[in-house]
Amino acid sequence: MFREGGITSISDIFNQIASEIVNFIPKILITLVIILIAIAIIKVLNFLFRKLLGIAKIDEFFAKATGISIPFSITNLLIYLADLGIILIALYSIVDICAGPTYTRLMADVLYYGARIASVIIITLIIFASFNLVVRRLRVETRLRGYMLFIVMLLITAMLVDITALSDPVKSALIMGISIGVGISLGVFAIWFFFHEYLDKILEKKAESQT
Amino acid sequence: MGLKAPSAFGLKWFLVAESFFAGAYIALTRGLFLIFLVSIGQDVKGISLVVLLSSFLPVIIGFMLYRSPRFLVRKVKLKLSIFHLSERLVWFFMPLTTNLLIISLLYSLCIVFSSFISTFLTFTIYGLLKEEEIKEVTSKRTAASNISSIIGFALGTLLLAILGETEKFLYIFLLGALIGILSTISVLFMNLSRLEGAELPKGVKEPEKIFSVSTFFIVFLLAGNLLSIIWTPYLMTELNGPEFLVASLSLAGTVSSIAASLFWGKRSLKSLRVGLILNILSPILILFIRIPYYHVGISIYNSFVYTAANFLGLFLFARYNEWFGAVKSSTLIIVVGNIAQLIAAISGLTLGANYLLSFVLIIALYCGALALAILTVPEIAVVPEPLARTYSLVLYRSSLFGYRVAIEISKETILTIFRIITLTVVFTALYLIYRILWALIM
Repeated sequence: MFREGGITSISDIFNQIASEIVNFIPKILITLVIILIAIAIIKVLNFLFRKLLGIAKIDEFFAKATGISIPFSITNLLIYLADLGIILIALYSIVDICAGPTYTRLMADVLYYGARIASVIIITLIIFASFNLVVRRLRVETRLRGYMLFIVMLLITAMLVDITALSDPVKSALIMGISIGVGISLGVFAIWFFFHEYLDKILEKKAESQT
Repeated sequence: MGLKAPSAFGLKWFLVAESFFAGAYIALTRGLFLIFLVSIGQDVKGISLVVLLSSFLPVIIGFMLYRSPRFLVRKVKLKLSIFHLSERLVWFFMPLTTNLLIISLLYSLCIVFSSFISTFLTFTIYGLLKEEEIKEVTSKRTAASNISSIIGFALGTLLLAILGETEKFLYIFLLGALIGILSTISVLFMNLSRLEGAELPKGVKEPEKIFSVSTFFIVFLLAGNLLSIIWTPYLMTELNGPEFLVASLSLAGTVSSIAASLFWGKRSLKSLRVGLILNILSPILILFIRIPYYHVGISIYNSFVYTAANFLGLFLFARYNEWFGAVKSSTLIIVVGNIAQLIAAISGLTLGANYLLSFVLIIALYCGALALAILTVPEIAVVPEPLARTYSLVLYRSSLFGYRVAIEISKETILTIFRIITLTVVFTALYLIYRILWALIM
């Protein structure tokens, strides 16, 4: 019985594996087709974008129009964005076909989280680029530059806290604290900036009266 | 140039014969084309579309030939004969369809061939004849063409009246094309071997002179073409002239220009200047004489003086032909004529029924043409020749500077527009990609 039952169960396993493979083959073929189509679209888009943007000299035009030189090529950035979009569409389609709705939801969550991280990185880059521009244009003194950097770092920290895996009450407490800190810093700075001559005079008078 | 034959007697008569048969051919085909369009049910919009499309092509071809004149100096006779015959053959197919698109294409093809033919024939005249012979042939060709066009129009009117509604244009266009082939046969008899490999001038010796004459001629022809566009509707709608008066006007004008061609053909350039001055009176008379029948007299006067002013431009090119070269002269004359026709067609469409404004514009253009001629063209200037040369040079240089500035600005503008279009295309593509992704995720 055992022998017979054992043979039956192994044959069932093989049957199951065979049927799974048979079921999976079309999915593999479709996946291959999707990958091939994605590669073809990427190639065509890259060629067209590079040609069009190359003829239009977009980087040169942007630098001339805004007077800002950016450390990366806009042409390449646009091409990478297009490629990323196509890759994500292909990946999502493959996951949907091969793994089913549970995994597509997971992938959507991953994409959502990825988008949040990407937005933090982009905002950080923009803040740093603006900071550099202001420092270069206004020739800010070292102390003030330190103060500005401090504020920028606080803002970036707040954004980083938002994407961490901390619990929501901790996150909100931290962000609240940072926000209050930034507010107080700006307030103190504003008082000093607008009234420092007046405050100096008061302090001088006080010092004179004490002596 | 070194092209001129010691005796061009035979050639001159073949050129006149070509023009004679071509006159009747044009009267029976292109002359009745607008009536044909109306007969197949086309409205003003359809007619304007056909005319405007066919006006653009000769300008483009003219510019191409002016920029690459080598096409003109190789296998001249073969090319002229093929274009000549092809233009006539197109009319065999024209009445077989009522499709506006096919008719537009056939008519445009016909105009393209005609543009090549005009250039080749002008090149033949300017390349093989001396200045006095050019004057003689031009006047005789104009007279011959006008005589035969009177016969052609009479024949066309008769056939339109006697033939049945369905087949009349088939027979009329067929007859016109067959008469046109007689003019092709005249071309076949011409000896054009001396035009082969005609030398092309490497640079223009006095560009300011060519510029002055071309500008004067464009302004003058523009005014003339605009006048011919608006005169008929003005006479019919504003003065309530009867329909037959329009035909009489055209007939009187043609007869007058036959006499004018023979009268002005042998006159000096300074005598032709009188025609240019008297020409200004024509639009003034048309505007102020409000009795329609008197317009027949005005038409006789207008054709007579217009022929003189037209000859002035053509004969000036004949004089410059010695150093400007037959190839450039012939292509430039055609380009100038085509530009004037195109601008006149667009102006006519824009001005519409605003007759007062149109006549004021025509008078201003005629005055402008006269001012340009008597101030900047040394051969006919009223000011001393050195002063006319200086004016011509000033006009040329300021126009050249303006042209360069305009080109630079246009280049920048076109580039910016192209960049904006490129960015729009790229961002639309990116939007499309991420919109699909978003739709998949949601």
